[in-house]
Amino acid sequence: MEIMDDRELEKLLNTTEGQVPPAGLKERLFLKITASASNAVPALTPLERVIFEKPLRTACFVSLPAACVLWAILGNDLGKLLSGILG
Amino acid sequence: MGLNQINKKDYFTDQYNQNFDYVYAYIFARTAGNSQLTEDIVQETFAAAWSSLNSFNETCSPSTWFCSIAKNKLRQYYRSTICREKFEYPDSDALYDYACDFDLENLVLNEELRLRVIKVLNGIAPLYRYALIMKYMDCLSVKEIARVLARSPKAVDGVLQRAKAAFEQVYIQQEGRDGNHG
Repeated sequence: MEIMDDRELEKLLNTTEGQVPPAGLKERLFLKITASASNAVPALTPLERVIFEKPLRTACFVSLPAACVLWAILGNDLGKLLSGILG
Repeated sequence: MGLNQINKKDYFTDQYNQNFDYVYAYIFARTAGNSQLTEDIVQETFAAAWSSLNSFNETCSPSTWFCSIAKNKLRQYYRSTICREKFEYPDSDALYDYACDFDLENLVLNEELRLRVIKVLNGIAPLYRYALIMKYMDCLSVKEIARVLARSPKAVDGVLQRAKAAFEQVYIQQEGRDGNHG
């Protein structure tokens, strides 16, 4: 069997272009899309986002005041501070 | 683009109204006239566009952007279909629905021919169908098709040859069948 000419095949396939959508589909889909978008709740709160996206920075921010508090409570003693941090 | 929520919705609504028909026709032709699948992919395309509207930087036209999203959705669909190696012929009801959905004013060209091409495309394996669509509708090169299908260009050449042969075989069968009915 002789295989169809490329241009003929292209012409045949392109006859399927230009389909008009059924009436009402545009409006129906628009409602579905916007409804699903407005119902979507953000997965993380802003604080959670900072914690999970920048964990190292968060750890630094938390550990610095904690170390200062311990330093003050434990009588400005480095040995006590270290034992306090280690528990 | 930094759109606030109200502007974003207005902008999206405007672009949606302008491009819906174009995107629908684009997907419809590439799903070989499968109305249900077209509807699903159109919805997924615009939903994805809506959720990533802030990242759209207008380096291309919105219609090109929508079509590139649609192209990715089609690619995902064909990849999963080809991977499953499962092929189902559409039932005659689906084709009847398609014929009913068809806008008669648009059928001046040749309704019978269009329906036949759609039937033929549905009558060949998804891999062949997708290869023909990429080659003859999207005008992709063999190398580009090879990249999409994750095969070598040589293998794609073979696939295209077999796809053309399969298309022609089903087309001739269909022509005979339609001729007998008519």
